Amino acid sequence: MHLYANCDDSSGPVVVCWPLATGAVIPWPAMGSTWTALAATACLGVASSLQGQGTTAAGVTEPGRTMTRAVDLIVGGRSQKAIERTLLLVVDPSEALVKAEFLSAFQKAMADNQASLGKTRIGLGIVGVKNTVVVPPTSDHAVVLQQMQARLTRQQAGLRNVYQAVRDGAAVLAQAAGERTLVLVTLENGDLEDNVAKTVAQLQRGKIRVEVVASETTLADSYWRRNRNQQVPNKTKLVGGDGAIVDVPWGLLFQREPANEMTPAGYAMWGLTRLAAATDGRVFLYASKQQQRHVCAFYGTCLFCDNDHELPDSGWNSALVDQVAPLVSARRDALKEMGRDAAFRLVMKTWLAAAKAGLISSEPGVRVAATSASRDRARAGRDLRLLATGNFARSAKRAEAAARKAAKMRDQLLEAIDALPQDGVSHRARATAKYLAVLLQLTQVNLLTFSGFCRDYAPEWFDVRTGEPLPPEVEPFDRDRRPMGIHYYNLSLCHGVRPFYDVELPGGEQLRQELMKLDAMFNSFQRRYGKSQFGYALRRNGIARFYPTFPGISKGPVRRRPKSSVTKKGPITPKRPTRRGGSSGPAGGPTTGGGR
Amino acid sequence: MRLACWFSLVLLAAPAVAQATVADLVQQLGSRDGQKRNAAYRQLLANRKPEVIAAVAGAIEDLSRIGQELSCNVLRGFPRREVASVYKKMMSSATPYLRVVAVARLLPDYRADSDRSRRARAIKVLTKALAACKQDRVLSAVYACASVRDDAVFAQLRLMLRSDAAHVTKGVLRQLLNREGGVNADTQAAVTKLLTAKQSQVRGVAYAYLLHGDADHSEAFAKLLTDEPGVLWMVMDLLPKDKLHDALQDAIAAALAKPRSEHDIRRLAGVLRTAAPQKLKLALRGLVGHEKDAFRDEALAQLANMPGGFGEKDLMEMLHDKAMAVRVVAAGALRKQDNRAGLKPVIEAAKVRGKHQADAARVLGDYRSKQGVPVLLDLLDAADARVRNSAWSGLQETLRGLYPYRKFDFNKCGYAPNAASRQNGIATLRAWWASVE
Repeated sequence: MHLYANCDDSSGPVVVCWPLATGAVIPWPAMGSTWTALAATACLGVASSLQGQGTTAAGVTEPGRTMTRAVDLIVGGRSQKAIERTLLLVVDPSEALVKAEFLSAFQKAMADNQASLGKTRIGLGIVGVKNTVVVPPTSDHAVVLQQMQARLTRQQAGLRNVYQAVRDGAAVLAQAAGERTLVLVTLENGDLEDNVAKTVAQLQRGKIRVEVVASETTLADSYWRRNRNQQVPNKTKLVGGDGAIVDVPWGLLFQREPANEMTPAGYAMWGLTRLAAATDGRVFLYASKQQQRHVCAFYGTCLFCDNDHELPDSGWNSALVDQVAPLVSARRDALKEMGRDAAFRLVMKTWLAAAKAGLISSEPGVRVAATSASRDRARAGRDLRLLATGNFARSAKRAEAAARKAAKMRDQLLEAIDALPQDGVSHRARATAKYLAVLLQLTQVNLLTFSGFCRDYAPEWFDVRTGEPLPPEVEPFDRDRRPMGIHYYNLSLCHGVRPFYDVELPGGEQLRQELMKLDAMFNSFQRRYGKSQFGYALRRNGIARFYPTFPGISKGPVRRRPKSSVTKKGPITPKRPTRRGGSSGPAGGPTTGGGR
Repeated sequence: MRLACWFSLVLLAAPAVAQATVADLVQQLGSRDGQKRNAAYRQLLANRKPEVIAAVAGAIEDLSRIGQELSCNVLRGFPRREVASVYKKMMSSATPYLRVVAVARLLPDYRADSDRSRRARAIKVLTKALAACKQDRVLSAVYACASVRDDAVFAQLRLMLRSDAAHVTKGVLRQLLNREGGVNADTQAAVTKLLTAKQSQVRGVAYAYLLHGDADHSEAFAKLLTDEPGVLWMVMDLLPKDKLHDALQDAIAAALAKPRSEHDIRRLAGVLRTAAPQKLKLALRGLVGHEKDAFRDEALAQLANMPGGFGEKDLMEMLHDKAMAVRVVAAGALRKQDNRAGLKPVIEAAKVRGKHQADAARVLGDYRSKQGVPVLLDLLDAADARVRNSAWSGLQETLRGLYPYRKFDFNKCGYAPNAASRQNGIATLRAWWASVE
C-alpha cells in the first residue's frame, strides 16, 4: 500500500518511504503499525527532501505483468461496494493487444465483478476512430462487450495519438455522474506524445482518474533521439522513455546499440505514467512471456552460452527498482528538481565532456548551471573518425589518446561521486553516475582493444609476408583485398568480465590490466544495482570485436519508375518501425517487459 | 570406326541406365526393407532431375502405403510449377491419400479471384478424399493437408472424430487446435459428444481438448486420470501447458512419480514446467532417490534445467556426489548461473569412462575454457561415438569462443568423429593447439 498526497499538475502521488542511514528505503508495508503511519506522514516532507526526490513512477505503477490482473483490478474498482461510477475504456487496438488476450481478460473481469459493477456505466472509445468514443457510457454492459468483440479483433498498425483519444474521452466523461475513471489500454503508442500538460489539465478539470494498461518502456529510451526522421502525425512527437528526459547517457563509443534501448525500465512511458500520476490513477504493465525470455545479446554475440544463461540477478528487487524510479512530475518541474540534484549535474557535465572528447556520440540535451538545469538542443558528439579509414597506424594513435582521456574522465568522475553529499542526491542520478563510470572504463578497454587490433592484428592480416596459419585455422581475409575501414560488433557482457580473461583479444598486457579493473568495477556495480534496471543495462553493453571493411561492388542508381495511376499511395498513418532488443513481439514499440 | 560406334552406343545407353536407376530407386521406396527404403529415399531427395518426377508419377499409384508417402515427400522437394501436372493427375487417383496430397499442394496456386471455382472444386475433392480414407491412413491424410485452412475441410475433420479410435481423434484434434487457432465453438460441440464415449482414452482426449478453452471439465478429467492413470500417456501431448487446474496438476504430478520410462519424465516435466513449477520440483525431487539410474539421472537433469530447481548450495554439494552423472549435471547447472566451480569436477568426470562421459564432454564444451581443450582433444579418440561427437562439437564451440579474431575451417584438419582413421586429424589439432597455447 502506498499513501497518496493531494496532487495537482505539478505534484502527483507521493510514496511514503522510510529512509535509512544506509541509503536503503523500506517501503510502507514493512512499517507495520498505525503510529508509525502517522510518524511517517509527518516525516513525509523530510523524507522526500532527504532523498532529493519528488514523485516517482514507483508510486503509481502496480506490481505484476499480466493482463488478467490489471483488468480485474480496474474493472473491480477501488471500492468493494457498488458505487455510482462511470468507466470509459479507451482502447488502442493492436496486434499486441489481441495476443495479450485483452478481450477475454475483460470478459472474465466483468463476470467476476458483477457485484461491484451494479451502479457502473461503461463506455468504449477506440483510438484512431474519429471522436474516439464509439459507445457512450451505458448501463447495458453487453453492448460494450459486443462492440469490443467487433472492433478489437481488427489489428491496426501505425502510430496513433492516444493523448488526443484521452482528451476526446475526457470530454464525454466530464458530463458523467459519480466517480469518473478513464481506462487507457495501449500497448504500443504511449511514446507518441501530444501535449501531455494540456491533457492532464483537462482530466483534472473534469475530476477524472486515469488508469493505464501499457507495455513497459526501456530505461531512458534514446531510440527516437537517434531516429529523428520518423514520420509522425501532426502536432505529435515521439519521445518514449520512462523519465521526463533522457537522463542516462547513450551512444558510447564502440557500443553497437545503446543499452538504454534494450533495458526494461520497470515502468511505462513517462507520458502515460504522468496521466495516471496527476489524476490519482494507477499504471498496470503488461509483458508477454516471450518478452520476458532472457537473451544474452540482441544485436551482438554471446561467446559463453547458447542462450541457456540463467542470470544470477534475473529476479529484480522491487525495492531497488523503486529507488531508481524516474520522476513523473511535469517535464518542467522534473527538470527543475533534477537541476538541484548534484549527482544529476555531475552526470550531465561528464556526459557533455565525454561527448566533446568523442567518447559518446550524443550530447545530453540538458544544460546544467550551479543549481539548475534547462533543456538544450541535443547535438551529436565529436566523431573521432576511427573507423572510416584504412590507415591503421593513425587510428591506433587516436584511439590511445582517447583511451587516456577516458581514463582521466573516469578517475575524475569516481572522485566526484565519492565527494557527493549523502543527502539531496537521488538514487537514480547516483546510479547513473556510477554506471557512467563503469562505461568509461569499458570504453577505455574497447579503445585499447581497437588500438591493439590496428597495431598488431590488421597489419598482419594484410601482410603478404605472413605465412599460412596452421589448420584448422584459415586466413581471415583475402590478402589481395585492401581494407577501407573498420567495423565492429559487441561481445556481450551478460556473463560478466571474468570469462573474457581466457579469450584472446588484441591489446596485450595493458588490456589485461584494464580488463581486471573493469571486472572489479563491474562486480562492485552489480553487487549494488545487479537486481535493478541499471544492473541489467550494464550487462547489455559489450566488448567490441573489430573487423576490417572492404569497398563494395558499385552498382548504378536504381531507375525510378514513372508515376502512374497504378502506383500505390503511401500510408496515411505513419508506420511504426519494428524494433528489436527486447521487443520480441510484432512492431510493438519499446516494450521489453518483465525485468529479465 | 569401331571405337566411334562404341562411344555412340555408350552415349545412347547412358540416359537409359540413369532412367533405370531412378525407376529402381522409386520402386525401392515401397520396399519392406527399411534400410533399402531409406537409402533410396535419401538418393532421390538429393537428385533434383526431371526424370525423378516422371518416375515417381509413373509408379506412385502402385506403391505400398509407405512408398506413396515417401514419394509425395520426394515430389515436395521440386518447385510447384514443375510438379503441378503430376498433382493434377493425382487428383483423380484411386487412392484417397494421394488425392488429399494433390489438392493440398495445388491449393496455394488457387488464390486469385479468377481461381475461385477451381479452388471450390479442389476443396470438394479434398473433403471427399478425407472421408474416403481408410482408418490406417486417416492421420497421414490429415497431416498431409495441414496447410489447408478452409471451413468445409474443418467440418470434414470434425466428422472424422471417432469414439472408438483414441489415437485418430487425438491426431485430428491436434490439427484442429492448430488450424483453428485454439478452441472453436463447432469443434467444441463435436468434442463434447465424445465425453460419453465408452473408451476412457477417447474421453481423456476430449477433456484435454476442452481444457484449451475453459477449465470447466478439469475435475472430471482429474478423476478420470486418477481412476485410469494409463489415459495420461495417451493425452499428455494434447494438454495445454499454461491452463491446468490444481486437481489436474496433482494427477499429473502423481503420474510423474510412477513413470514408465525416462522419456515420460521429460514429457510430463514439459507439461508441468509452466503451469506448476513447484509441484514439478517436488515430484522430481521424489525421483532423485529412485532405484533406476536412468530415472534418477533424468529427474536430476530436469531439476537442474529448471530455474531454481536446485539452489547453488545444493549444486555445490552435488559436485562431490559419488555418481559421476550427478557431478556432471551439477556442473552444467552451475555454468548456466555463471559459477565456474564445476569446471574441475567436469574435467575429472570427462576423463573417466562410463555412461556419463558423453554428457561430461558436452558440459565441458559448454564451459568454453582453455583448461578443457586438452581433455576434449583426448576425447576425440574415445571408444564411444557419442563421446567423440560431443567432444568434437564442444571443441569447435570452445575454440570459436576463445579465439574470436581467428577464423576456423574445421573440415580442413581432416578429422571426423565417425571416420575409421582419426589419428591424423587429432595430430593436426594438437599441433595447432601447441602453437597457440
